[in-house]
Amino acid sequence: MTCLRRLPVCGVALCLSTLLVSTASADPLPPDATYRNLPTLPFDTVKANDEAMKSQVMQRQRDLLNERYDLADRPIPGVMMSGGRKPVQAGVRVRLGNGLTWQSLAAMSPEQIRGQGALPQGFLPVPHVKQATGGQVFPENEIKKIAFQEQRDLRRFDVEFDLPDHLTPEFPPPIFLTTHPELGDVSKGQLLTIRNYYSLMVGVITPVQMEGLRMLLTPFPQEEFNQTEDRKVAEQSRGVACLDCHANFHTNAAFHQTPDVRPQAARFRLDTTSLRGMFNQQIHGSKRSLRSVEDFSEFEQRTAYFNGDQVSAQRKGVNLPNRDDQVAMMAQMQNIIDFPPAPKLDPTGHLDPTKASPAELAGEQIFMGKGKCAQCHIPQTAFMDMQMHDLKLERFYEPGRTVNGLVMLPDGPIKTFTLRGIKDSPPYMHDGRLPTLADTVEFFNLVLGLKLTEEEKSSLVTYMLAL
Amino acid sequence: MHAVKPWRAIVAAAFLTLTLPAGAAEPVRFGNPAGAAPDTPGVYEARPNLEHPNTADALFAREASLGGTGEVDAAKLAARKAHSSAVKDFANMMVSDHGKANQQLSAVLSTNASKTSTTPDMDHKVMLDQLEKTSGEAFDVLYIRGQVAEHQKTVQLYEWIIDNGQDPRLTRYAMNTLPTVMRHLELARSIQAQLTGSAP
Repeated sequence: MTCLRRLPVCGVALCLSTLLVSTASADPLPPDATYRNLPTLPFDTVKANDEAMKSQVMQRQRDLLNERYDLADRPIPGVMMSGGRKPVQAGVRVRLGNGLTWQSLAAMSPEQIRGQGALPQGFLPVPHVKQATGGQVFPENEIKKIAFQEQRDLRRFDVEFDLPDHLTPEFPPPIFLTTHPELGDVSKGQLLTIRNYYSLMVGVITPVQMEGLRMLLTPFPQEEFNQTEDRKVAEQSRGVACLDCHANFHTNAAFHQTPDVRPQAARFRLDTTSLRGMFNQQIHGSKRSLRSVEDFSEFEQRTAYFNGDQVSAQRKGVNLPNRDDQVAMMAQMQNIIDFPPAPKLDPTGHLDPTKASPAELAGEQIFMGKGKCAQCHIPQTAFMDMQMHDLKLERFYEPGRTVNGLVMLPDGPIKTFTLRGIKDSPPYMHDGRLPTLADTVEFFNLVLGLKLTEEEKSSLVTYMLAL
Repeated sequence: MHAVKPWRAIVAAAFLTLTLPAGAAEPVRFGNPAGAAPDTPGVYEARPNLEHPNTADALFAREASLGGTGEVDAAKLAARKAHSSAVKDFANMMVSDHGKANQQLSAVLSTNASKTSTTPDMDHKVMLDQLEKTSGEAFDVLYIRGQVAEHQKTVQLYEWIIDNGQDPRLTRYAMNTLPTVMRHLELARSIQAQLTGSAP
């Protein structure tokens, strides 16, 4: 480097550019940008303050959601989720800015959209209801069922669930087993809990699976639900079970924040994923890209459930299931959960033309061709590709703006999600920013520059309802 | 889901003006009260005066001030000594943008209980020394690499205070300034790419 000839050589200045970089890190960022602080106030005081601001917190989130989306209850006539208990919601819900139409937006370049701030707000990252605190937030139906069956409290005193019920999955979700396709939904309309799982499942599953199920239903301490003063539940809590979010191995739309990012303001929201079809998935988790469900099951309680913080979890009480025994059993139970039946799909993941409607077939054509969907959502591999992809949405918006405590940053690579049974799991995307399947079509139309017609978009939705 | 009824908004606004100190406007601060300073007035009655700083606020006051003045010092040097026009333009923008930001931060801090030191710390002294001793293309590379590192740190620092701080005036400052800092970072990265061939 030419700079070296100009400077006296000294022990410290070996290379100027590395020196400059290393001095920048000699005064590092504050530790609590990474590590969780211990509370500075007594529990009762924290609780009182949280309760006092709760209604404003919820109002702020309601205002944001109403600004971004049309949240009305408008089902598609005659289309139900796989348990037959809840209709699928219709139409695009993401609101457009003044004077824009979806066509006019699609005609703009990403640079134009970014420059004019024209990207629909509903396409941007959606914040946790209380970003600064974060943590698991359960919907009302789950809170009530667990309170009734187990007398365990999943209600937080600082926040409530923020999405309207009609935009979430049916509850309790049906359970389909790969080991018994002939039985259909084995849930009997009940939510599996530690209090009823044995009588529901004995005779249907193996001893290994039964033990795995037991552990998946056993509550363990978690960041907000534990026995220390650093909690957001009124009484000291036994904690949270895996299936408290993954109700009946599906999702009840409970949300959290990604464990894989710091500081707190940068942590994107995480919508609970369904556990159906785990037997085929090879990467798990928002950024960690864990390679097996065994890894996931083994690890999750180590870090206080998705907080990426083994330090805080240690204080609150970790459960360390052993890999060769307990974890294997938990994985083996998770691996027998099937997608819901899709009678119109043949074994290769394509529509059977003798069973599918013209609209569905038209949608499949778009899916495989102009829509480019099948490049990542490969029908033959359960509409996944075992890859993480960066959609580079930041081409369309300037990162750095803060909304309800979340700094909206580029999302980075996120894994391809399966589309089998997709009508059963609103809201969509990793953070649940898209309320309906119609929204996802508009989203990808823009992101991939597809220039789909209205008819093509509509047929894509019809096709996805059949998966 | 119903649309927000207008009367609710009025009641909420009235509630906010009653509970917040006079002069504190939007956005309201919804932090985790577990991180509040134990001597925050009113916190034990659940009516905290949030403009009383917690430890994060105090540390941010120092770090942001040091960073801001360090930026202006380095930028003034670069405006004088830069070899390429891209770097010179960047430096001039830093002088202007960070000058403004420093003023805004000072205005907040003058009313905030945090005291800050404006003596440059060792890191910024060393950086300025090295820049003084370099010139030509090497200066440009040194300066711009340092700018990438500094702005990365600033972005993380501002994100940190947005959710860990207590004083809404400081968090508002950070929220308002962060998009500009990220633009600076993006630009610094692209200039670094031009000068060194690194990925942008």
